[in-house]
Amino acid sequence: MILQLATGGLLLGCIYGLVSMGLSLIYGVMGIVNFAHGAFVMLAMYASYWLSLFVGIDPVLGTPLVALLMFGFGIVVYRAIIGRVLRGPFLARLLVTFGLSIFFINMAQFLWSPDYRMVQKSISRGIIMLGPVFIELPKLVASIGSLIVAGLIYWFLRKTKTGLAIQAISIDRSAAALMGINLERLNAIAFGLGLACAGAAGALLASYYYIFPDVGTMFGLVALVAVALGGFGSTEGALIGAILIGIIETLGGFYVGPEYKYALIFLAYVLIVIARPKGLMGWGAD
Amino acid sequence: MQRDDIRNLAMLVAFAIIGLLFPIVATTRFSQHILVMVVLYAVLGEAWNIMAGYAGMVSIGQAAFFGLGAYVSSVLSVKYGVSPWLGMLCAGLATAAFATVIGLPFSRLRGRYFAIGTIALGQMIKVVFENWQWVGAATGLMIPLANQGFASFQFHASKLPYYYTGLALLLLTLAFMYIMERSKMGYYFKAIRENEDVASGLGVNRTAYKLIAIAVSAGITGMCGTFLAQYSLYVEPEYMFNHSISVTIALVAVFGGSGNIIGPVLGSAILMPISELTRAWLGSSGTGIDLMIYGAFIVLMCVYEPEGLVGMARRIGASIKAQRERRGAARCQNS
Amino acid sequence: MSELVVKGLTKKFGGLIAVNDVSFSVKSGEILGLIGPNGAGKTTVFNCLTGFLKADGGSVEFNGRSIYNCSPNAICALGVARTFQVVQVLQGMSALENVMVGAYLRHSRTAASRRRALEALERVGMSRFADMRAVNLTLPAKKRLEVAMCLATDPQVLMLDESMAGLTPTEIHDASSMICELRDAGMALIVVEHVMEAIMPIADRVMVLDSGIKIAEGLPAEIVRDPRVVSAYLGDKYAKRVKC
Repeated sequence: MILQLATGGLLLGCIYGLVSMGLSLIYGVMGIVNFAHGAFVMLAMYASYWLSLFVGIDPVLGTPLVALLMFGFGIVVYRAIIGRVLRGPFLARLLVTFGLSIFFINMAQFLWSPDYRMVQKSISRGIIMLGPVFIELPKLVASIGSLIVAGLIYWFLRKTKTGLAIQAISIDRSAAALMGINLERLNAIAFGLGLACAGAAGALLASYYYIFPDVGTMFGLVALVAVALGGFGSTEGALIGAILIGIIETLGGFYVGPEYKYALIFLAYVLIVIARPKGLMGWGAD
Repeated sequence: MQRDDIRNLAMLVAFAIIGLLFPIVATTRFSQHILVMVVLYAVLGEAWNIMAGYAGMVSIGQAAFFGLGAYVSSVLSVKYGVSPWLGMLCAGLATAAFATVIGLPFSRLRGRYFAIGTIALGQMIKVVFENWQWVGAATGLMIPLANQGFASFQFHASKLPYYYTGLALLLLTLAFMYIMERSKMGYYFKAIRENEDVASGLGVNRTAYKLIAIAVSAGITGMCGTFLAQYSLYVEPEYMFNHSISVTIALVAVFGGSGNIIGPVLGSAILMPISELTRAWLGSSGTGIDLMIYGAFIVLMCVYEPEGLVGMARRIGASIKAQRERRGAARCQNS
Repeated sequence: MSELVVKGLTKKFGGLIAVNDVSFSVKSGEILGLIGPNGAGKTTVFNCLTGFLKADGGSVEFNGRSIYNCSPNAICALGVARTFQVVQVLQGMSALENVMVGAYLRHSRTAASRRRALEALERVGMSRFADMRAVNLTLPAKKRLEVAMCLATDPQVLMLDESMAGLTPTEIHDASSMICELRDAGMALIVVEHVMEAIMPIADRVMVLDSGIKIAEGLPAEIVRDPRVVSAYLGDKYAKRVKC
């Protein structure tokens, strides 16, 4: 039973991991806590849904397309909004993404109604047995997909020139600027990449998860907790934190009661952050 | 100094008179409802202001204190027949005490870690109340109807008595903040907001002052919780602990301008009517249009006017003054 | 007459010993210069003495009372104040308000605190900037403001961390005479300084740190000739040449 639960937690954790990675990337590069991250996951889920309904693209196969769409959307949002508040006061930087989140969630509710929707046809269906453990195929596919995307992002950050420049910014912004790195352009790219992570996660989730305006909120909050657990700015920390949370959620949901599972996640956040005010692997400013 | 004090006192009195005059034009129940919401959120925004605007601890979980206050007085009234007024006092004290206990570990967290911690707090306490059978779990509690009047803190014929009660609460809060801003406490709060290390290097006991700010803010917020419970005569976790309450509180204060006394009042006076009217015009709540406009407001405010309405007014004032001086200088040259 | 006595102060960061068994004392009417190359542990000593870092060993006594690892505010309340290496002021508040925060420590009422703060500003020659927001002040003005903030807390020991770095010669001259005035008024001062020409003429005693170890202490004239000090600053080769 424990094995079954842990596997479930691990699978969930992989998707959380992808969402968290995007959040962490954005924070590391521009110091913005993206409270709208969950809303972007939700938008990506809707995008996936419409694509499958009207164009007939399967959510899993459409993942790169949705990620690309979200990347472009991220650049637009950065240019129009985020970039303009970066030099503003702390409160503005903290609350702007809050505003975005409220806006997008309620826009979805207004335009597309609060009804639950579900993608009717998906290529990944059914359950497979892996030793003693039942695994739902859609979840497995989504988790593997998440790991692939996370791997791609990781490769991009470590091996490409742009990726290295982005890392340089998150280590020391002013030194990076002195080295001739164009902050504005790379901020935009990093924000786009962060949203692409949310987009890919949303598309993968859309293959088996209910879609409704508030669906992203919990993913966003969980990612926030995961990133804080891992330490703001640490991409690996975010991934580890997310998997930890996936396991806490499934195990806690089973042993303490499903109604308490999110309370447990938040409790874990509060306890860990109080013990280590900068997260497990954190560094950088407050 | 002296002249300043007199001017400010005059402003407060003028403000109170304007507040008392509003009901003359607000004759419908709906317009009275808007007035009640304006004063309620003005008080809530000021309470947030103490903690976030002055002491620099940004909370996005005020609903935790708000709901707790609503439940304390309601439980006392439903289960033990305690007068809501006494309940309100208990609610204030209980939430302040709760906030002090919570604040002890929380005061170690800085900046965004604190803000996320308050979100977590708001979500956790909601879950606890949703599953607590003794207080009615997810269905909550109904406050039994009583004869209307100040003794029972229930008014059925008109909403105006609620408005006056809220206005009194607002004036008390404003008076407290006026004194606070000019005292050691106010200066210490601001010092902590600006730079904790410098503050403690100058002898400020930061933990103690942070706890004071959190407790006062939570206490006032808890009393507002009682107010809304008596206004709607029921409490329910989804209603009293709703995350949107926390967000609205922060928004009202930031929109008006945080870190000064008048900001949240202005913010509430402008935002609450907008939100209530859009909700009424564009259909019942649930379509999301009211909150959508809210969200857009937050974003626009952060991008174009991060100092809030008060900051905008100050800037306009400064440019008018500069223009006048330039004109004065030009006149000197001409003569 | 007050006295700060430090014995065997030690601070470790992981495996690195940043301050290793350092002892010294300073008393009223005296300027102790604290010098050493970058990374010698000067600022760490300050941070340990003022409670901003928890030390790992030793003792710190102020007027016979242990202030070892007390909280920063408690240490300040006892009469030990400090400035920061990277100038730190309350950016969003006016210069006067900055100093008032310090003055409130001994004067709870606003009017009294304001009076004390104006005195402190006057003393560092900053009266005309009283209403200016701290963020808009120039670097030398911010450094003066920082000193005024400390003075407003009525300290008996004042610790200045590189308060002359980045100043022009004239400004250094002004700052030096201000420090001397404070000493003559009976204050004990510990001054961390990189600018040798600034610290040597005013210090009564100089202590040298290198890699967390105290390598020399004495009169300024002795210190500049001390071969250990020269080698710490300039390397062994140069030290030998000085000797012959």
